[in-house]
Amino acid sequence: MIVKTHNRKMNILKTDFKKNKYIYLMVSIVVAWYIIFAYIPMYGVIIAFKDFNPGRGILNSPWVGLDHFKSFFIDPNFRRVITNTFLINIYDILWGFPAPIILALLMNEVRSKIFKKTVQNLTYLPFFISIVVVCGIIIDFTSTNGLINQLLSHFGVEKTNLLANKDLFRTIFVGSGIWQGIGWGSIIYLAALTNIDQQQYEAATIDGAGRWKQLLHITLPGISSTIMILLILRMGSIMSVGFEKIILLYNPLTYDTADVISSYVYRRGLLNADYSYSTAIGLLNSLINFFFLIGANWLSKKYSENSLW
Amino acid sequence: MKKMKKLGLPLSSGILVASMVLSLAACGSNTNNSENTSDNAPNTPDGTATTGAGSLADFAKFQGTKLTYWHPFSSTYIKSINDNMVVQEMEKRTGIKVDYITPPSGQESDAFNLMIASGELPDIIPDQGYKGGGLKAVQDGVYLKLNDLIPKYAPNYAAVLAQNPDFAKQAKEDDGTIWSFKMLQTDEEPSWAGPAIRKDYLDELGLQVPKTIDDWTNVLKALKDKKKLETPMLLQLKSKFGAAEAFAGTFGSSYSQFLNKNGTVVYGPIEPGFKDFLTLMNQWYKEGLIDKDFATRDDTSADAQVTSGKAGAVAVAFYGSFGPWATSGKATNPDYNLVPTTYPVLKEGDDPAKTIHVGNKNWYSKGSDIAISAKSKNVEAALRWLDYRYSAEGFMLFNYGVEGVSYNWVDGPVEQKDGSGFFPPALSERIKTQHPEFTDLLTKNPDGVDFWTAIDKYKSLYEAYLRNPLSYVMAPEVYDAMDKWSTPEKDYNMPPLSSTDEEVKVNAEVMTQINTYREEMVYKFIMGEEPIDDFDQYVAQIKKMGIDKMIKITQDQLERYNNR
Repeated sequence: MIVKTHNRKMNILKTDFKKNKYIYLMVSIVVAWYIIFAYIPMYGVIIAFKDFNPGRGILNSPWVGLDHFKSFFIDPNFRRVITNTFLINIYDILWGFPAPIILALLMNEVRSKIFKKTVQNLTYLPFFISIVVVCGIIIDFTSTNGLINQLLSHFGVEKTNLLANKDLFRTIFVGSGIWQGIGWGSIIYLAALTNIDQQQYEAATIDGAGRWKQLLHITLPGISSTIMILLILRMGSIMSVGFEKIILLYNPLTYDTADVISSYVYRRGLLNADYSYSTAIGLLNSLINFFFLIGANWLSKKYSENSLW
Repeated sequence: MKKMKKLGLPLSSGILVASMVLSLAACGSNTNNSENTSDNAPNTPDGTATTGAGSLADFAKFQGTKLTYWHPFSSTYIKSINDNMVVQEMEKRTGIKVDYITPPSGQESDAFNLMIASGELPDIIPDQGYKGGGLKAVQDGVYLKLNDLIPKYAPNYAAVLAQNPDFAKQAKEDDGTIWSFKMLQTDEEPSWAGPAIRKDYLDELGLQVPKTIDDWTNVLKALKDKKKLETPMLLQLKSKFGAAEAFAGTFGSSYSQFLNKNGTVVYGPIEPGFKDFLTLMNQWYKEGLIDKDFATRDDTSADAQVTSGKAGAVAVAFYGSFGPWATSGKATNPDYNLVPTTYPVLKEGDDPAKTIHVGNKNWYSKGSDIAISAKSKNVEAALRWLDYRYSAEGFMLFNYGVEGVSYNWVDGPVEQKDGSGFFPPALSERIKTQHPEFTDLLTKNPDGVDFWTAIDKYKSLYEAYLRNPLSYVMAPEVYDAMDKWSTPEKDYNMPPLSSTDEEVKVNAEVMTQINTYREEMVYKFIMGEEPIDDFDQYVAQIKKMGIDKMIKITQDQLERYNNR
């Protein structure tokens, strides 16, 4: 019996393959990409448990067990960098995640095409500016005699270097992130919005629903699955903050709020070529992210119909 | 298979033809060059002894040999290393074709580690900080140990090392291993960094150039109150020359370094004097005498502060900056005049040479190590090719470029300010009556670039060779600066030490924590977020983080160095 069902399954697969061979051909490239560039290099994570030396190679470097993890946990900066990483992400999700949704919804309500296109282009542009340049602009604007202080001084606020104030770092970091990414992030929502059936709006108008009610009862539910999926994916990087922007903006005065896992590992690991240490922290990071991703997905599945799988 | 064979034939024959052409070209130019050298020969009667061994004749068997050389490079003037005249001339003279591999600019150390990890090594590797040090690289079988090879294939390098026991001491590891060619300077290079101030502002206010810390306070106050300057003094703590060192040094401490106080190693930032330094900086910050934005000031905006006239003084300036700063400064203010000052002293009448201990002592070996891959198949060629830069001819080529193109010998001896002490013995007679002079290609470049940009094309790139650090066209301020900044004689700086693998590990673990904490606290002390009274707690915390372990390691390293 087992053999029979097995054969039947093989047959189904065969006919399916014959029928859709071009699709299989196309997908094979993607699968190959993943195997070659995402799975095979994964064996490299073993250096997290070794004392990796570039000269000896991955396989010949000596094993050290959990040493790198231990040295991270007993590091006096451990709690601070974990907290900062987590908080910056929480703020980014709180403020940064809804921003492009709101922009997309606003744009959806705009009737003037020229205005809409202009706003879209203006909000996309910052995304294409190199992060080094963006940070240069931020440092300039926030300096003691920079643009922001010049403006604030008209309202009687004393001029200070804003980036030297640890209480403002997260605001500046998340705020500039929103400015840079809002236009780009709204594209996917704008695409989702075009999928909403226009007849629903007509029906709602006949029923007497105003634009606000339409927004609440048609537009938002229409893109809710996109929002949920993106939120779940965003949760999957809750312990990650790229080090580039951090190291360009922080200074010893703001370490208290700005030093995150990746920037600390950068100073500790990369500048000293301590790749094993960086890998160990990266692995730890991925593990935590993975659990957050699973958790968010599980919650979403339980309370809404949306989930990744 | 058939197809491949068909393709294979023309390809290989192409290579054959190409290599034939190359070797022909190499031969052709080589004959040219031997004429050149024989031209020079009568002028260097003494030179034959040292230049004879390991000179161009030894390259005859390497015509057409190919070497690979991983080489960081960035220039605003030339597009690739191959446009550099010294590189081109080396190929002509030796017949060795060097294939340069250029890592992306700004990511050199990442690219270096990736290259080492890949196991595919070029013949010649300029070390960018092999993990665990060069000695470890030799043990790991990555770099070649050069001790036995240098006498055989690098007679010029061997001769330079033999000139002075200190050269050899600084060119090898504690156990005597030599794994690299180093940038060597056969005399003491003058200091290249120190404080500077706007003399024109001082004249306007009727003030003298400050000497003591009190002078500085008065001058900076005047610059702020009377001259209404935004930034009386720039204090670029982020810059790589450690801008706080000139003033921290006055108090016998240092912002970040270990100091060698008469053979005893101490950590500068926990020395008692450092507290006095912090107190002063905190006072200056409160009164608005130092840059309000010092915490976020990067090099570019620091330059802008100086040239726009917003800054009245610079805590530590690099002497190469005087020229470019003056050019843009004078464009907006013809009176612009930034002058170097001596390192500040505590009391009137103190001798700067006795009070200041963190100067900028320059050792004979300036590092910039170039190693040879242990896997290289052309060891002899690589050694001889590198050795050439330590011969008299190589010295002239790498420091001055090609004769008749970038420099000419003209009458008049080489003066001390032009580095007469750095010339190899083979040229010692000649430089009594003649000196090399850069041509208009460098001094009045037809492309309109300044000297410091033009050298990218006409002089050697900054790497290991026998270097004359004064073989540059420098503004009068620079010579003035060298005089004034070089006064600290008794110097607390560490010699070039080498670490064991274990020491490197401790360093990574301990120093990352300490540096993070130290920087944070120093910034807070200066800005007044942390009261200076907490200095003792700060010292205690750094001790708790294991500074004593690091002081012990550094002491060991110093002793090993002294025993070399």
